[in-house]
Amino acid sequence: MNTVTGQTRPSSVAEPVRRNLFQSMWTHRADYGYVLPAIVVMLIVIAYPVYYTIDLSFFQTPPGLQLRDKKFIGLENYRAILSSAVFWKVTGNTVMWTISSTVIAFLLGLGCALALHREFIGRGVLRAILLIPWVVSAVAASYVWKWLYHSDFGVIGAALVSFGLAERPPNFIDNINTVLPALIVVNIWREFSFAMIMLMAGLQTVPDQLLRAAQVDGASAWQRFWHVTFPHLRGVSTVTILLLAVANFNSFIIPWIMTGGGPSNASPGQVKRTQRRKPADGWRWAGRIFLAVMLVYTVVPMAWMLITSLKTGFAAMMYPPQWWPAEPTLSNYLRLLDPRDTIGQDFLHYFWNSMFVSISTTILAVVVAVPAAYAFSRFRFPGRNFLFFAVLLRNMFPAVIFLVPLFILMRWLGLVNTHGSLILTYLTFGLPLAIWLLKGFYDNIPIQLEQAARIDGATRLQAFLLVVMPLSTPGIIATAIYSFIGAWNEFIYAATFLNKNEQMTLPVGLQRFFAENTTDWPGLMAASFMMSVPVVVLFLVLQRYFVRALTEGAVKH
Amino acid sequence: MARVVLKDVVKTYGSVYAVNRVSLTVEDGEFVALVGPSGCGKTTTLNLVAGLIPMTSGEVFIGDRDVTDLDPKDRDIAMVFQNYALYPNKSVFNNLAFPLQMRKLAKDEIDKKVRAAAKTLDITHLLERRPRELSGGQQQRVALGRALVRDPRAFLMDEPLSNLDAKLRVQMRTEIKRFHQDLKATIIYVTHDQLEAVTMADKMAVMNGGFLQQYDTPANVFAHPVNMFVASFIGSPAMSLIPVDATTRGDAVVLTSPEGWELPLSAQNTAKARKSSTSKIVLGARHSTVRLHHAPAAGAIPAKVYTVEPTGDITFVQVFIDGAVVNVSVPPNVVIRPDETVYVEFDQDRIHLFDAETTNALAAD
Ligand SMILES: Nc1ncnc2c1ncn2[C@@H]1O[C@H](COP(=O)(O)OP(=O)(O)O)[C@@H](O)[C@H]1O
Ligand SMILES: [Mg+2]
Repeated sequence: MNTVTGQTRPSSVAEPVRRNLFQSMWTHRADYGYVLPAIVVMLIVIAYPVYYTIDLSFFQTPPGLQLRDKKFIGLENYRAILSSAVFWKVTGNTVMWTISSTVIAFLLGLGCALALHREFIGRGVLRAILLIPWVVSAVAASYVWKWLYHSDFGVIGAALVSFGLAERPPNFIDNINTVLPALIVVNIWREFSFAMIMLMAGLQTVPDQLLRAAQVDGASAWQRFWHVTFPHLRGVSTVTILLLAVANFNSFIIPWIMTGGGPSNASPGQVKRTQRRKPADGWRWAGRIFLAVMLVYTVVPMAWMLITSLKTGFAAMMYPPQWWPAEPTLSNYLRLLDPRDTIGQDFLHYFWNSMFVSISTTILAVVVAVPAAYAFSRFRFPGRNFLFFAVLLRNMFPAVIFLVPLFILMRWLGLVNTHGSLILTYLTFGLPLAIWLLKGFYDNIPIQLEQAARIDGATRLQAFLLVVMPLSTPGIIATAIYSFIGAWNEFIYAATFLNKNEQMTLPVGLQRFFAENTTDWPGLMAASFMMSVPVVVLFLVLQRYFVRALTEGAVKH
Repeated sequence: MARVVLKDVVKTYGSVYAVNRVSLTVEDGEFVALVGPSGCGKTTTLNLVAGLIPMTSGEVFIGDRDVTDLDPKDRDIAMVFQNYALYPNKSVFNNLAFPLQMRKLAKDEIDKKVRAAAKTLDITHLLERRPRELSGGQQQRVALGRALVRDPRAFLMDEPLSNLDAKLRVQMRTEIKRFHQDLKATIIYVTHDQLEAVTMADKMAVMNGGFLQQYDTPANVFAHPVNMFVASFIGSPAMSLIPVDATTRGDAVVLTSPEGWELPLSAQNTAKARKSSTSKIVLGARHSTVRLHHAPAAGAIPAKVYTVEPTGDITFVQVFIDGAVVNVSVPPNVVIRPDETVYVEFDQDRIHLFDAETTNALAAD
């Protein structure tokens, strides 16, 4: 039998299919189901507030936010704000803050990543320690640094004096010239390790062959870095810098808490990156010294927090400070954990509230992110790219501008003063990174694996659950950690949506505690420590999944 | 085992036709090779048979069942993938057991079947390993094992050997062939390697640009290619194709070239040439049907030698005729030098004539 279907005979060509957008969307209608939960959550928490904010910006409202009486005034608000000197000054400060924090944090992170790239004993431990500040909440970090900077009893000031670098402890935070650098040091402390972890993941994907080829071609260590490694890191670097810049531009907690009430002082001098142009061995030494400096920078504040928490209130307020508590005591911790004491009751309450909110957020984030990421990776439905980038854009909006509209929305939904309001909001923090990360994973899993499973007798769902999901476990774990940490540390929304004491979460509780006990630094340090323990432990146990997730998932592209 | 029937199968991606009205019947126990260049729609066709992607239109039958709307799991087929698609986080044993677990077989029965399949393929010693701890050839065996472990109604294989090195490929080719004969299995085997198709298959389906070009036994496809694409795709080195003009002179048709040579056609070829829609014809000849002369001879065409490639037991010579490359094979003891002028004689009983316009083969009724 001869079958000829002339590729050369146009008459046998079926009519070209022309489907319009609507038909195409209809064909893919099932695909939208996967991304629907993510989109709905995003729409509620993002789209409405954006609309609301823009809409309201054209109106004038009487004092007390009586929205019914709002008056349309067109662009008057914009004219007013753009001609206000305060606005420009604040914007200038914000730009300064954003650029210096981002650039320095990125460079320090890059330095650490390069120094940690080579295998050596204790590398894993070192990496883990350097990562701790990243998971500590901004509220706790602010209090710890505020205590370090304290103009009377701060350890930094005391150290400067005892090394003969200053006559008396300087007062950085109250000095207009030093307050911004002092705050930037704190900010960088918290976020350089994010750059480090991203870039470490990026470094792992630099092809060894290329480096060896460059070596054979006679490239020096610096040339190899500049011509091979660095270009390879461009993608990760862009994402890292973007994320840092957006976070810095929108950040608010560190300046707010640190300048609110207490005096302190700061020294940015610890973290100079030395220029090195020596041969390979010199590089290695430079790397070690650099790591040692970064280790001191990372560890000293945490150590001082611990040491202070073991002192009595009296011992903490001494000058010069007791480097080691003369009479170490656990009383600060016992008080926080004592259910008979009112402070203990409150603390335990806050603790369980934080647990509940964080765990719920984490579970929901995974449940929402996994199908969405899968659909973005596998399906080709119309609007896919648009929706994907819309999700990623979430982090571009500063939390503060959403406060009022979200509060109004939550009131309308009846969620004010419930943990539901927080869970719904926190869900959207983790989703962009989660979806991006998991999509990277699914992109890397060959579709043939699922096809094989379906041929082997699995349904679509079984193929996903039994074959694809297990392969994305690191991504799912990373997503979970990220969501948990974000929820555990969040402050602004918690402070806005909840005003009943029995519902508060730890960061808000901590801030309340401080407002009422301004001088109980050991108690505050103990509380900061207790608050950091769950996230730090969780992170230290699971951080290798995080690194793996970044390497295998997102960074690969 | 069962027969597999495709009826007017179409698959489009946007406005691109990946598979265009393909109809094909694979008889029970038959080994059919689906062959064609990269991107011609072979994988898509196979995926449509498996039900892995939704079909734009058409029907698929396996046995007497219309499976067009069935899920892959309900079609009862096995498939071997080009990249093996072994489950990376499962041991070899669990990879083989997976299809049986999905069918909810008893544990001891699964164990028995897995070990039997492993024994057939000589991979018993690998059962506890992970796929990434295996060599390419071993992974290939495991992939085959996963298809073998249950008895499906048909096997679909998508370039299963293309990731192996040449030696292993030849060895596995024999094994798959053997396995087809032992099991009397219905196999649809996708490959871009025409040699693989020719050596293994009972029948081959040649595809190009989403269309099925020819479906026949390898011998028939080789001897009677239906168009210029099939003619040049099947056989190595490829069939030489020389564009010429056909002029009627009395009873006979004479092929003429701008370079001045003429080739009067035999009666049978004249009949074929008359079928052409225009006077433009393409003359096709396989290397083994062309003879070379050092001196001018009757019916021989002058040509210039381009390259000479001795392979040991046969020497391939490429010559230029009218700017077209013509492959010729000669015994190894013949002395020929590049740039030499030689005279090419075609075997009129074994040349092919194609309509230059439609590219279809010209046949004498
Ligand atoms: N998922 C897809 N989306 C768009 N086009 C596709 C898709 N899969 C295949 N194609 C196109 O269909 C044609 C046939 O592809 P394929 O069947 O994979 O070819 P082969 O297996 O013969 O190399 C190619 O042109 C390819 O680009
Ligand atoms: Mg293919």
